[in-house]
Amino acid sequence: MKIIHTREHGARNIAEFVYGGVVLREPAADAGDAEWADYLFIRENKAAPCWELWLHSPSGMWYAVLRDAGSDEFLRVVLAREFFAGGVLTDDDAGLSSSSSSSQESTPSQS
Amino acid sequence: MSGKRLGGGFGRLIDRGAPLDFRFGGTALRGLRGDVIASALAANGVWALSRSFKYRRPRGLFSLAGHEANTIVDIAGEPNVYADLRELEAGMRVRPQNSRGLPQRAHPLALLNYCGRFLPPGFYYAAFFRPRGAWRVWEPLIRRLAGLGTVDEESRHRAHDKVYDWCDVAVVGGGIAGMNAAIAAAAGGAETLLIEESPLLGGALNYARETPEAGDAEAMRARLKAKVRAAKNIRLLMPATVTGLFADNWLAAVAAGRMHKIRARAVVVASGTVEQPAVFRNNDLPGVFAAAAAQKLMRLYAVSPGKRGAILTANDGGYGLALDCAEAGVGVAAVLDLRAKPPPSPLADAAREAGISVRANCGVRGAVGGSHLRALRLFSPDGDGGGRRTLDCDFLGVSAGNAGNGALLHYGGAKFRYDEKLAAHIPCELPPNVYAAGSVCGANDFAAAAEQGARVGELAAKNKKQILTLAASSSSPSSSSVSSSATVKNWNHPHPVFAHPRGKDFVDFDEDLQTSDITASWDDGYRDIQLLKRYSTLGMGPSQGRHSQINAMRLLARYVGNGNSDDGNGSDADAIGVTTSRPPYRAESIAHLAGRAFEPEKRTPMHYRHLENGAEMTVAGLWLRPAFYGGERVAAAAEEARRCRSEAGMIDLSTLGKIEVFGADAAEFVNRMYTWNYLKQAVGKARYLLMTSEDGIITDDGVACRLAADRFYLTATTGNAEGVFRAMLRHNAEWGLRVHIVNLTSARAGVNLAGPRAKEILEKLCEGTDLSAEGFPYLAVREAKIAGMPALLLRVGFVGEWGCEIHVPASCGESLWDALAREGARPFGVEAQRLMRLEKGHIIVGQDTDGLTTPVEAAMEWAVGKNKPYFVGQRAVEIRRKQGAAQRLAGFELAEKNAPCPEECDLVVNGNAITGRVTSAARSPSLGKVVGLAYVLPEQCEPGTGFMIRAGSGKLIEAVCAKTPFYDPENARQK
Repeated sequence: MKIIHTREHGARNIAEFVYGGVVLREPAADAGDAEWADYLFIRENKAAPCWELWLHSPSGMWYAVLRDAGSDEFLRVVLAREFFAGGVLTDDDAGLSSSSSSSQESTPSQS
Repeated sequence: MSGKRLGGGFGRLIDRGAPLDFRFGGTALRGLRGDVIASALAANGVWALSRSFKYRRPRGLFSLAGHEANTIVDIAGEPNVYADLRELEAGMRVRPQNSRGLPQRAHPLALLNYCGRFLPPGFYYAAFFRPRGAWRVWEPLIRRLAGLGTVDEESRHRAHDKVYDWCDVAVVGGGIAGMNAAIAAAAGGAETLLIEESPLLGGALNYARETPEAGDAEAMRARLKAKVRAAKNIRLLMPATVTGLFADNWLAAVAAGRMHKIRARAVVVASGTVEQPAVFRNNDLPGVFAAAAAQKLMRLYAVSPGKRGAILTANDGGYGLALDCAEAGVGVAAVLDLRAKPPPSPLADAAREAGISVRANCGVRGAVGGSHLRALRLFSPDGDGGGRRTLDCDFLGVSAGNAGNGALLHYGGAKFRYDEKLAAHIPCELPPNVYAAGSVCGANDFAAAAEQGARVGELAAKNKKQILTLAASSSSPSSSSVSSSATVKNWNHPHPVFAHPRGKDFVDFDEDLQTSDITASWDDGYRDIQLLKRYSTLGMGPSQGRHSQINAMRLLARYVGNGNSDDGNGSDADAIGVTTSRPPYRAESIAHLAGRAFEPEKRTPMHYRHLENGAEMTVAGLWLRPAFYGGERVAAAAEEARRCRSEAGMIDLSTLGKIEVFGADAAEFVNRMYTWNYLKQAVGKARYLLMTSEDGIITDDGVACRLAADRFYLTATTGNAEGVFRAMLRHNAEWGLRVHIVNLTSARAGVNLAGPRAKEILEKLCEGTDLSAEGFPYLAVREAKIAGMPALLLRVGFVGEWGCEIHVPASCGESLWDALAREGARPFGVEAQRLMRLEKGHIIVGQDTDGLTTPVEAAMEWAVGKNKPYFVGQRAVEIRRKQGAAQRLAGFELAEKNAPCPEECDLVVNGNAITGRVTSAARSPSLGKVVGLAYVLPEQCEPGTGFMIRAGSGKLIEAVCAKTPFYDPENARQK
């Protein structure tokens, strides 16, 4: 069983975590139906580093995790709150999936 | 020799004073305490333990280490037991598993032995799968032949608890390298767990010798054992088999009927080697075994391997066995040394001095014998092949070489390279925090294994801090696998494969594969070892190729390299490679994986009141809820509902999800999470909640109570409470709204009090609270005291009567229940509640909706805010609305009053087309008719439209859409 290391809880068994899917940028409210359908149903399933959400279930804390889906390595683990608030991502963290936008902004937009 | 054991210095494991009676097949036999089944049988002269998989050839022990299928037997109630691993017990009833009757007696099926040329690789695919359906006819027969064992359905149930354990350093293997590693790791301050599969520490020191003096190994063993015992921070787990190594050093070990799950900061794999067979004609005859097996038979069990044996060797090991035989008084016909010019060796000299005949450049072309070895046909491997000499003997010890037992390293992701010079696989890349030492790395002599073990143990102990940091991908641990100063001796014969033109030269015992089967598979086009494995079944038996992979690889390398194949690449052994090794290392019984069922359950504070009232409890998620109180389900529910509708009823709602949201952005948060409008919800008011996921699917419903401008109290359904809470946390991690979200589900108890007398009961208990129609109207929320307890009162009407949900701290739940009962409220269960809500046409999320239901299908657009800027799932719901629903949920009644009541999931049909399904249906006692909810075509959902339901029996029932609520359509009673 894998171990996930978090700043808040130290080393914990992966069984304490719940997978919450790949982090995606939600399209703007006025985006077309096709773009929304892509966002909701199409996954790239890349064998590469990807930002994902993982819930540490006993504490109720959501984490953003940069995981290499090819090697199953957890490269970075940060609180999802801090991840979305910005400041966590660097220019190198290009693993954030994006269905269409090519912008370099570091947090997904949300109306 | 039956029953006779060797004397003196032999038989370390047996207790000569403790005879044990047991049976093999129908024969009564006697062994000794400490024997394994196979040694006890050998002591009784029983060598054939099974019949082989394909040709029904008699087979006996080879490794005496549980590596090949030959020794699989069945003991009462337990199939697939390795006779060379399982300790003998008094009264044990052992049966050969894959033979009818005793394996030494010929059986008509043994004729398959002579059908080899009709059973080429791929035979089963080619012969039994055509015509279509043929396999079904053949399968039972072939399964019976295959000897897969039988499950005893009468066997006693046993619990197989799991053990969870951890350590700084786990050392797998208690041989020379493993013991040294454990001692060094412990000296370095590590909490060390030493795991050994056999009942003895010492590995090869227990039976092998490196010097002419047998006592040298024993002295080394005693020294190491004393150090291990003296170290305070070494724990022993033995006998225990490590069956898997998983991510981040998570080990599975089976010991004493339990699965141990062990987390180690560092793992040292010192799992030794598997002695390899030499391939020659009839190399599978009982009596042909690994040299180490012969040594173990003598040293551990005082069983003589035979009267007069021969020894085939390519290293010092064979001479060690010869000296052991001489010491035990067992005759040695000759030591046959495969090497043309054996290098000088003190052991060989000692053997010659002991008068043992040694023949260099001598191999075995074939073995002779019916059910046991009688003689060997010899030849000279290097040169003209020699004459056709024959050597009479009744056992042959084979010491042609080893293969590193690297299965665990493979599981962890280690890479190996085939060293042509050593003729062995050596690990060249190890996973993080995994170390290897000893003969698994090719360190075949005692001193090298000891030095390597000590070095690696020291490294592993130092490593213990590193694992707590995030795994770095760049670390290169390979340097720790091979110690620099340890010299590695040449032990393996480079090619101990001597194909015979008449076959029966077995490469794989488990699967009965001869050399020609391997080369024929290559010629059939399977030119990748992974494909060849699946076609020929090489390495697919219980040993997973531990005794067959390397020889097959050598065979193919030479076959291809000699130009026997039209494509020349792959002439080198590493290019051929071996197949992937996967856990478990040894078969694990499903009982060990399952363990004891651990199903936590949640009980509400009123749980024992329900039991006292005779409730039938039902499971809802982890919760137990009262389904109905006594009697028969339908009648009991009807009676409970009748009482609620005529007097007053109460149901335990403690299982409902209860979530408090507070903070400056509380209203904005609730407004985003749910479909309706909550920004303008008045303080002191309750409002229906409907939640959708991002793809617009209904995931939950409940009630929102606005307790203050910045404070909401939300309920969620029993099964979804946790999911709703998680979704809230997740979305707000992204939104960053200024709210706190607190899950109060288990902290609060709740009761729904409903019925014509409910208000009167409440008034008695809530002195000083205005419960009048004006002061406490429908959908009002009040904080009040009930019988002295702080409570939240919600005026809602799920069951359609004047009702009030009363939420109190969990510690007050039972007192609240008692207070209400004293005033005459009668408990009703989930069944009655389902009936009453159906009469009101309310949906239950998960019953009347499924994973594809949006508010459009559920006909709940009324609960979707029209002018909201955003809610989770908004765009998806909008798109679904544009597309138009294929089905809509509608209430229905039956056209004929006496028609049978449909059941949930009965189909709604239109001619032959399935157009929907029934989600809820019940005969309503208060209405005197059947009412229900069903998905129907959108054009059918107008009240009065008829449609057909096909019952499970196939009978068609005529239904008519009806307006909901069915009961009290004006909602006059609940106001």
